[in-house]
Amino acid sequence: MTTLDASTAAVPEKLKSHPLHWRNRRHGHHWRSHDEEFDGSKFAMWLFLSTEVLLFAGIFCAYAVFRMLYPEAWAAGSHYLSWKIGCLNTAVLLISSFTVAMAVRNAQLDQQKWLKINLIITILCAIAFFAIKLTFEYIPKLSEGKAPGTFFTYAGWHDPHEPLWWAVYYIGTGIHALHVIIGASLLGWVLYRSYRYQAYGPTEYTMVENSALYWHLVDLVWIFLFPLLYLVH
Amino acid sequence: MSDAHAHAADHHTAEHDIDPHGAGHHEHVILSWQLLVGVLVTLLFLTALTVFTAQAEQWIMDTWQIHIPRWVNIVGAMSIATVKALLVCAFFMQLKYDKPLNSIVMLFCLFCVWLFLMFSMIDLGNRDKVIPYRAEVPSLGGTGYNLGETLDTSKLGSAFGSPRFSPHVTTGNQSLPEYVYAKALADFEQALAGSSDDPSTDAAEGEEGEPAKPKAKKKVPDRYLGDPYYIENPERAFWHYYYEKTYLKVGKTPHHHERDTNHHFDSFLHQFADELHAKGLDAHHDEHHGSDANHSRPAHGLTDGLFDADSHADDTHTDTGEDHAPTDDH
Repeated sequence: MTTLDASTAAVPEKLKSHPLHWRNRRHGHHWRSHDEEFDGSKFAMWLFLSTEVLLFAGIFCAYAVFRMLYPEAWAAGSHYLSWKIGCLNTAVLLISSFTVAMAVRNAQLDQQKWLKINLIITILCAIAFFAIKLTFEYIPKLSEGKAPGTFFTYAGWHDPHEPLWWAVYYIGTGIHALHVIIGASLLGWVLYRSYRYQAYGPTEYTMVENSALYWHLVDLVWIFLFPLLYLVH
Repeated sequence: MSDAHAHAADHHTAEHDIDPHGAGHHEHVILSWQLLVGVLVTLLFLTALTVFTAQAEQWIMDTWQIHIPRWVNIVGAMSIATVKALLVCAFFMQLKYDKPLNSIVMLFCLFCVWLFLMFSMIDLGNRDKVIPYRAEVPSLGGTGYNLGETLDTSKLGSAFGSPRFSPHVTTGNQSLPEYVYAKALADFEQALAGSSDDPSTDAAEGEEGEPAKPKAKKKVPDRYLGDPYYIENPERAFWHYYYEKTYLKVGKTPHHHERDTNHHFDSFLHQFADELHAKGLDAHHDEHHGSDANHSRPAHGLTDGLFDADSHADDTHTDTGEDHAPTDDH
């Protein structure tokens, strides 16, 4: 096992005594050790992620209940969506999950350049995901009147309960897209601090780790949203 | 728990130790990039697999007219999704190498999700026992039926200036989709009348307007006027017009419709072929071969016994526009 602070990479002169450089970070005085601080922080992140799972569980529950009540509306609804777009977005998110996992690894190994590259790829994937969603799904669908609830104006419907399908679709994917934006912002913050201060390294990468966990959750939710919305008719 | 006690004792005796866990940071695992790449490739493969199985189901239906029950596809897709989620959790999120406490938190959370879903399903599955006992008439909701009496009145009163995000919709005694359909039809007839009365009037937007405001006269293309086919089939003319208005106006083909939801438009799509081609918007040919609509949609709702009148409403739809009369039931 590699010891974590075995790195001997040179530190830029102006950052050598900078308080935000990872070599100069110390754990909070209320923690016994850096490891405890790290574990506590990560545990809190997992607690938060479990509340996020419960948030999405509400949407999945609405999906299940309405699907049982109105199977025809759900069958028609998923036929309105193109699995190709969904598949593309799944691939984009999986790749971004991989790059962010690599970013954690880079921080652990003090690979500052690759840390930044992987973060940039992840953020670009987030932007691509959102752009694909808007261009091929939200905007065309809304311009046709396939909107949730009382916004529904699409006369070519197949089942009178389709407004409900669109409500679940927009709320589910909308809250997910909101998480994409938040996750990308967090990773953008990590990228900034990494670029500016080399703030993350073998002994100080809590922020990278927790942002990555958040990003993986975004991926996890999409792993279930994709088949439910696009594939299962 | 004994582990936790041991740790606590450890800390107590070694309070000033910088690294009470012993030499090195043993719980910080650095995953090899080969492992991460392997997980990514597996995840992409599983994504392809789940898409393939969904397509295979459709293909089997099309080719051999064998209806695979929906639950097969659901169980298959959810199983693959679960495997993918486990891979992400175990390796990308490093739960496999983490302290078990984090996994326990997540498992407990998933247990709560399971409770949440199961109790909802139990409730739903037993309503047909409860409803007769309570001697109530079950009714399906979710269509926005009679919005005039429910959603269209502000609950907050004038003090708040009637804040609302949704549009003002008064559907009378119709469901919202029926209302939308009737309104689109009325718009078309109005446009038709406007065109035949005064062909020189400018075209106006046929989009949502204030109901109270008198609408400007609209014009429909000449092809709708005086064509005996359209006069004989006004509903067909309407779908034709609606297709043009909804898709051609915004420069789009309905290519993002999957196969059998195009049935309103299938039968006349060839009439647009030249126009579409001129705009460089050729339709996806494989999606428009006409009369196969609906044959791949067996009604296997899990609650069929509950609302018999509605659960087979879709059977009335066929592949032609004429039969798209909104159903009467709610």
